[in-house]
Amino acid sequence: MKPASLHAFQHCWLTRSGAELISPGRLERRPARFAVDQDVIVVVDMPEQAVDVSQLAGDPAHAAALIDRALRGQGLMEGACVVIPHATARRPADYDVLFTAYPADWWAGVQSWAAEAEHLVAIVPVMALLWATLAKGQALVYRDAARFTFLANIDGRPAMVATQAFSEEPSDLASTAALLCESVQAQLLTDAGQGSGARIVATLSWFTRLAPVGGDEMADAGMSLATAQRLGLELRPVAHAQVLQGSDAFWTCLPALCERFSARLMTNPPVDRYSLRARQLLPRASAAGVAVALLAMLGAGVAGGLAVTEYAHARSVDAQADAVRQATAARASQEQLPENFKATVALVDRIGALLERPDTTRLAQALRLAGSGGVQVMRLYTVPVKVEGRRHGAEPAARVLVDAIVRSDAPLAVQDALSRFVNTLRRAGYLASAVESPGRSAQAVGAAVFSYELKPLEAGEGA
Amino acid sequence: MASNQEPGGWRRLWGEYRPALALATLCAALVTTFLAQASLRKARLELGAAQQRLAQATAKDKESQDRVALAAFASEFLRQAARQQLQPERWADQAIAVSQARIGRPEAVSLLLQAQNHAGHVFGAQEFDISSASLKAGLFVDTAARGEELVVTLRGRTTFRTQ
Repeated sequence: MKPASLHAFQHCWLTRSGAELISPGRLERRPARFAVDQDVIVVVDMPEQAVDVSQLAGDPAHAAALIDRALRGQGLMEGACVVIPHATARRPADYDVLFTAYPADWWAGVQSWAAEAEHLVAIVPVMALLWATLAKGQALVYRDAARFTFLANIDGRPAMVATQAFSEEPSDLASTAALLCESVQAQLLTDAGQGSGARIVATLSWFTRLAPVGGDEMADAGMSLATAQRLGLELRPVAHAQVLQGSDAFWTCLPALCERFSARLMTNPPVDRYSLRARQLLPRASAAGVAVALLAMLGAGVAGGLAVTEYAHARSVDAQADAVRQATAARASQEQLPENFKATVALVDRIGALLERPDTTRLAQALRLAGSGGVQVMRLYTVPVKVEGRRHGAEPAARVLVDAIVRSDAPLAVQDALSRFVNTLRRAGYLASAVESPGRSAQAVGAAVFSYELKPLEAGEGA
Repeated sequence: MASNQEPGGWRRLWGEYRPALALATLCAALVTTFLAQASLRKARLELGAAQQRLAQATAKDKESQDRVALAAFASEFLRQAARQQLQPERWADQAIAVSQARIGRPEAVSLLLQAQNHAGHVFGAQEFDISSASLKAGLFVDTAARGEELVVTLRGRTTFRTQ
């Protein structure tokens, strides 16, 4: 696609003798170095130029120097020349290069004129543009007055044949076009070394540099059709523009050629190429910038909306917090504990702690009842228990022990009396477990002393 | 292609100053985005702070409710305690400490009665040792031993209602 910025460019054919400035619908002839008042694409095409495809060996970077030396050696150029390669196709041992050579002094003058112009003057050799129109397998014929140039892209490799008619008479042109076809067939497409060439070129385009509307137009149409038929190629139409110079009408392929223009085809200094590329990119960069700006504004809008929502939510949460604080403050008077609550709790705790201790009265009653079966209770006492980790100030734990003997006049045998003693205690709420007798009543006279540890039965442990 | 007609005002403005306008728009958009993001960050901070204040207020309210419930419980507790005559100002403590006293059985019974629990009187024994002074007689024995003494050790504390 043609960059939008190139629409502002004028188009111009440039030769040694003058310039043909093409603007929409108009042709204006100017001196060779005319005053430039607008950006212009200058397509250089002059009879003094040398155009060809050379087969060279070595480094393609040296192609220009090699061609320069060859052209001078062959006498094709007078004096120093400037060689501009347009296309290079490598092969294993050598390479083909399509080039145009211009007289050096004239070329320097053109470059100087372009550099001094207040507007951008893009200098492009016509061959560079013509090659740019060709994809692989495509060919073209370029007619400049009586000069015919056939150019083909054979799998990326340039191939060229040129012929020159004696005059611009239609018959001469037609016969020269026929001759061109023979040359093409003979030198390129059926060349033994490039045997597959005829098959891989499929289409033909026809470019006419500048021709008066009328007879030549019909001649070009006929020639292009005949050439395509002779070469067995499909004719690919090229849109030529009609322009007026005064009352004279011409048609030219220049606008169509300039559609293929790009900065890389320019022969200007690098700064001009970069400048043009920057100008070509500027609209896209501007559009991208605007798109980014719109996206950024969209994002900003979303963020702003979120911020408003978050602020509203924060205010709502603050209102909830205030309501909760007010409810808390209203309840403050109900939080006070009654004056003597702690003292009452302490009293209840103290009484509870006392009630948890062994009840001597209840123990005595139980033992008195249990001993009625012939067991004589000798001693009821506590023995302190060492408890690891007992907290400071807490009451020491104690075991309750009872020493007893079976009286000699007991109505039951010793074991039966003790069994009844234990069972009676159990019914009274105490679990009696036999222990070693540690007390002084072990020395009781003439009778065995039995010692028991008494523990209150838990709820549900009763007999 | 160049046009012979002059473009309209807005188109001309856009055509001539497109890069500058695009740059200005982009800058304005970036500044707006930055401000909006900053505003959003501040709003989120405020929301976070408000949520923290609400959490603190809710926690304090829960504590307040717990204190009110405790106060109600305390009032009910005092009512029940009063019904049981458990007013602290009407209760007193007394320590009892008798160490290896050889006493007659009537005196021993009298002493042990002090260790008997009843309404308005609670005794908790820390240590006791009650044995017969004579190895021939038990604690609860026959009439023949009634003259014998008992050896009593009793240490504890009595809490009793004064009125």
